[in-house]
Amino acid sequence: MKMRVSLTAFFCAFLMAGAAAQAQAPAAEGLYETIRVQVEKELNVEEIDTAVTDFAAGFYYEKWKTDRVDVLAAMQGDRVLCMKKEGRRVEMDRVTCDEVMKGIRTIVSEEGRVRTLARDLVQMIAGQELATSDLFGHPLSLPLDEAAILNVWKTGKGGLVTEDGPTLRTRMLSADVISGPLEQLGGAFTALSVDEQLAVVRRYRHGLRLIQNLRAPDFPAPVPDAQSGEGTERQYEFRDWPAIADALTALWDALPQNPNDYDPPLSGRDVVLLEFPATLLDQALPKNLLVWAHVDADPAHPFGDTGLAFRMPLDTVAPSLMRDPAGANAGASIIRGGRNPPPVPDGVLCSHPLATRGFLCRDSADAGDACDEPAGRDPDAIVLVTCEKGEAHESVSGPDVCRGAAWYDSLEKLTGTGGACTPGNTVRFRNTIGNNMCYIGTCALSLFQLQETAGRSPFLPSDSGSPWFPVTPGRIPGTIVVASPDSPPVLPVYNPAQLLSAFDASLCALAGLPPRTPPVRCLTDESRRLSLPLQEYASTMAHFLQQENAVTQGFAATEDLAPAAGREEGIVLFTDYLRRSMQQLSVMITSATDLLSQMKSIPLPTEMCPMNSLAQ
Amino acid sequence: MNKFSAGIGLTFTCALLLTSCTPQDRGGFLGDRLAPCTAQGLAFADLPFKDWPATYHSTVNQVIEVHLETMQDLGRKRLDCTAADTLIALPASFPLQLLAATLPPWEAQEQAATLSELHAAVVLKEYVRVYECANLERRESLAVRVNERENGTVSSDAPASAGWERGPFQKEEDLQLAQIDRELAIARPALERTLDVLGSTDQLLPVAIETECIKRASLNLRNVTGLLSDVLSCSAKTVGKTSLRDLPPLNP
Repeated sequence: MKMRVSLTAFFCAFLMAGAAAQAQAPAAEGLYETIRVQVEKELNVEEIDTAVTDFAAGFYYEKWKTDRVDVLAAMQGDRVLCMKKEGRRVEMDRVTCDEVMKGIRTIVSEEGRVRTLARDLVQMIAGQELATSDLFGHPLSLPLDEAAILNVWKTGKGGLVTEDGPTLRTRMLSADVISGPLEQLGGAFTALSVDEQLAVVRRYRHGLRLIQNLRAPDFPAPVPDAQSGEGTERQYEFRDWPAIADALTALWDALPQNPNDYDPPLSGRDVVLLEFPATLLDQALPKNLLVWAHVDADPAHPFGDTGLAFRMPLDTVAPSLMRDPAGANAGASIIRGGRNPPPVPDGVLCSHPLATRGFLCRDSADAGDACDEPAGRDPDAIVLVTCEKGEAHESVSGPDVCRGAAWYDSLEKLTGTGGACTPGNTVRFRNTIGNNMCYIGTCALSLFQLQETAGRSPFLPSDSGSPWFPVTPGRIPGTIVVASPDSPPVLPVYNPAQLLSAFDASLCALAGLPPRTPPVRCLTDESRRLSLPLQEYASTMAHFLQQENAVTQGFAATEDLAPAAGREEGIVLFTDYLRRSMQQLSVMITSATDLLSQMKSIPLPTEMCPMNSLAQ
Repeated sequence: MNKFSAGIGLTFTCALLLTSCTPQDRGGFLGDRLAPCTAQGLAFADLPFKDWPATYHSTVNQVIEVHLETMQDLGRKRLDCTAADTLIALPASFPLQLLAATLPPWEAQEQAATLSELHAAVVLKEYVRVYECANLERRESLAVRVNERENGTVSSDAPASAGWERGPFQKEEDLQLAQIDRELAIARPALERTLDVLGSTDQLLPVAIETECIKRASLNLRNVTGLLSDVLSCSAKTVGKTSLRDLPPLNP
């Protein structure tokens, strides 16, 4: 079971950071088209965000009554803002005009750079984390796929069994139940501006009930900090959006929350990850918007919530430059700076059902000792996955693989006695490999060891009536089971300093030099041409200029590659971890294949017992 | 029993595949079959110049969108889970096949046959290289090309000797030069940024395929163990009999 916990742990490492990047831009006409428009916009200096234009105008408004037109003109080199306008300002002198125009250009350039950088960072994170998302609707959801595999294999009554954290299962929602709330949500969302949509998704990325403090005390609502109030750069961090909240509330109310709505009924710490029909999402919501929902067994629903995300994370909420027009102190006033990015509120990242099972959301002692068996486990019990390496287990009654596991839901006893394999008793269990193997093991044990069905018919009077029983005391044949070789998942080695060193070395390699620290020392020596001048002075001078370009272009290209190199490193870490952890599953599948393949050689009787044999 | 064997075989194969879940090395895929840096022989040669950007960007967009849909629908795709190579487990989508067929590396039948959806990024990068080449070539010979009176600025009925007035000629040349510069500045960054966003999903797609195969193998295994459970429920012990055989009915 530890393997199951650990498998999800590494996914959660990505999800921790990924949740912070869930404020994303809508993609109007597909991923590529959206990015192409972004690139075109960034290259086009004439196209400036309205917020940046207003901020630059507001910066000089008090003294020079500048407006949006003045800013756009200043960016074109037009000195219209320097001229006197009736009732608004005096004419600027030439020096002041130059200073104001330069200031406007600097503001626009710097703020544009900040926005581009924020967008780049979000897209870099998306490039790293989209494949390890825990949401339905993203291109790949490896954690959900892994959870599905484990659910098929697990032994137990509910979802994915773990010693701590929730047990997970998934369910597709019925369209007729949720279509109304989804259409309400889609309508409220599309009524917002693009910037507001970014803010809304960021606000509800961890769930509506969480920020309404309805999941306390397990997961209390994030507390607004002093630098995130109205009129600050982070003013949208804690702003509520009533129309969206109403739609999410309606959606939550429409969800099946009664434990008996599920088969088998929810119990304990069961959590259901609800999937929305894709066609319904396409009809009701904008193309790039996702909605998610979880329901749990606890009446207080500590894991129950509904929230928003984007399919493709392409943009984020930029630091606010102007006061929120919907705020109490709305106005044209600008916001003169602040602190960004906002800190991640304590606990919210661990409020997601899958993430909370990750090693970052558990006690360090537990995470540090992944092979620590829980106290109280029957030392004779044999589980399908264990932390003991190649250890042989022996029990008095034989290889009862499931004695310590509650693998069945109910056992109806005909005579009030006996177990799952007692004649007449009916046992119900979830159809999983583990539970089937428990039933098979239990029945096979009683069949072959305790019930001598083959008949006590020795050929000779001196033969043993039960030749499979040992003549001398000792181990009973068939009671020895060797657990699968186990190599507990370990976190892959992550050496950031080594990575940076390799990157520095690549920068130096561009200049044909060995690694140096700092790498700026690897800049090509501009004077080297002096020792080997070209035939003409003009050519030598031209080479001076070209060699600088060659170096700067190489450095720029390498810097452009940095995100991809980082992503590659992350994927190597991920696949390395996956290879180690999946090795256990591989061994199990191989063992099962061997065992079941051998059964093909067993000659089975052609006449089996009829279903009504007991009645006869 | 045949189904049983097939299930086990699939399971075993997927177990073997697990040992190779590193993203495939696609670095040498193109080999020495890169197209020459010219529009000649490519789809752009037959298109009016003004249609180049729309054709290029819509093609890339369509391939990317279908690629995304393919990844999202992986659970419903037909996968060759017993294939020795993950690359051929997921055949290329139709738009990707169409695009690849216009590019020299995949013009040959045997190359087209091995095309996988996992090659989408490689095909798109070759496509943008071809597009850049076509634009660069156009820029080098722009004056000559403009004189060919594309874009309908001069009536095709006009005699060849009519030529261009300097004003319209220069204007048309400037317009085409602006389009070339704009496309050279946008095409590659837009594609590379898109592929960056798709980076982990693209690179982990082989792992996702293998995971999907393991999921299906696990379901097969569950069916097998379920059948065995049914068999055990008929065991003599469970049904309270001393023999599994039913005696023939007694004659009255």
